[in-house]
Amino acid sequence: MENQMTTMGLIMMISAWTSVTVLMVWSVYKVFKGKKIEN
Amino acid sequence: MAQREAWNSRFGLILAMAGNAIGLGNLLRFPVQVAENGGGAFMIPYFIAFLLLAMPLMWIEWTIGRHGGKFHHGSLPGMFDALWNHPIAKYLGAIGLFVSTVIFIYYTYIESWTLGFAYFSLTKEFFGEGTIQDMSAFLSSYQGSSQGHFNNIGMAYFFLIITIVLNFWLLYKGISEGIEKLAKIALPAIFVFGLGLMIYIFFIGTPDPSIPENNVWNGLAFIWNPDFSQMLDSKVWLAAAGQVFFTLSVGMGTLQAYASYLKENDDVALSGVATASLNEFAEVVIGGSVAIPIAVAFFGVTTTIAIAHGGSFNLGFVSLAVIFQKIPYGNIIGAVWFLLLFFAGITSSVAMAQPLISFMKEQFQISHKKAVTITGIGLFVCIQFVVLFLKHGFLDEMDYWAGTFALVLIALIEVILFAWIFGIDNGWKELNRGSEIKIPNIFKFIIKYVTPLYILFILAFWTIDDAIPTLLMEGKNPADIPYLWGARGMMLVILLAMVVLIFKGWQRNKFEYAHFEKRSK
Repeated sequence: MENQMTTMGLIMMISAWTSVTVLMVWSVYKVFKGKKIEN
Repeated sequence: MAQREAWNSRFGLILAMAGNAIGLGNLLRFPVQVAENGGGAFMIPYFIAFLLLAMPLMWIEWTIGRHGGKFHHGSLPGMFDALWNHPIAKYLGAIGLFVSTVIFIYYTYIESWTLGFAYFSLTKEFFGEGTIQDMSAFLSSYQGSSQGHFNNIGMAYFFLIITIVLNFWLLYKGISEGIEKLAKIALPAIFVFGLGLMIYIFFIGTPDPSIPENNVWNGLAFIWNPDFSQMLDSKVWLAAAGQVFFTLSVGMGTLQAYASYLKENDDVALSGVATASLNEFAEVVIGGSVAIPIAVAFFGVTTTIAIAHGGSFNLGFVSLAVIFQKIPYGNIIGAVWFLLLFFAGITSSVAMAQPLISFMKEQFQISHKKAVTITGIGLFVCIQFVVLFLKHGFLDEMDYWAGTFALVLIALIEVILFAWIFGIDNGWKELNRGSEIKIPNIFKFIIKYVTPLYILFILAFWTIDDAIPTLLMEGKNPADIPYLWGARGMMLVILLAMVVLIFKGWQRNKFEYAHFEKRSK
């Protein structure tokens, strides 16, 4: 394994971080804006 | 029937669910797994397993929980009983109750170490133990496994008592006043502490300019540079499936217990996605950017690989504790790290106690206070064995059978019950009731065929590769074998107690469900 960050490593890291961040922001935002739970 | 508790807000519920899922595994187990299984290439099977295994199970568990809650069931025996019109169904749920209870017993002890180490870091108690060997000896003496910095187990016991009291105080306060309020404090704290640590670590750069290759950036490279040759190794795919499985806390009955306090038309589909995504952010972004990058910056790649082979605790409690002694404000940074672990731990442990407490309240109509007290006494008795016999592998034995094997078994049972016995059409309708998102129809196929086969494959492989050798105690130190049998004996007693309690509970309560035409006897 290379010691220094490769282009593929950078792509993997950025795409993984971006996808989980976007999914989290989108879903939490929708929960905020969505229906309240029944009590 | 008595009025059940309820969540105060939907966001509080999501935070509690995410707190349940986010645990020590996100911050310690994940980076070790990535580093050991092909770096960035591990993330390909990881995300595939997330889509085919974790997300379907997350939805199934939310749905089973809400469905069970409709009949006042807060634990798996009742929830399974409401899914399958067969007398055996409730006894299958005993395995779920067993899993959460057994994990709760040993997890509380591990959680107490994080609290103890937060204190030791703040007060610089371990400062001076500057090498991996010295720090290992410090941890070992703290755990009572050897003589050293600590001459007895008193200090570990002290932090254990504080942890138990905190857990049961929160459980005693109940769902909205205890668990939900904890989640509203602990979850933001986990994200603030975690992101703060990440930023701090990124600024460390190259701590020793005479060894320029030891730097944080190369630490990230170690995790993310893909080694595609490893993707042909089936063990990497299994490791990835195992990691997404453990990280989301599926197969324990805890997500179902929390979801049981929802009403019939409350959303579970979007809530499941929000829970999973919060967990993934804590794991992939925070968990992947703290422990390994800082270890590479200070020890280099070769030593970090050796540390990772030593396991998660070696990384979290030993290596990082050595590093904290070498960085500015290391005692405060160390305290933040261990408090981060503690918050991640306590939000998970209170969830593990919940199914048993719900079960006792609902089946035997005892008060919340009494159910919490009984659970507390039971934990206190059982945990003594874990503390005293830790060095003989007592905790590891419990972790293998309850925290690894039975967990996968219960996931397999619930997906079969949901998709094949309750029926995928009924299950799909139930999942989509009140849904605020449209789940793609392909997941109907995935839940019915792919997820059960995926779990079955994992279980079969682990049975052959691990469970049989573990059962036969291959490679164990002969001196430890009586203690390992002791651990098995204790787990067996707990499982039998669950079965007896279920039998007694169902004798007292005659459950009838309108969706079954006639109950089987």
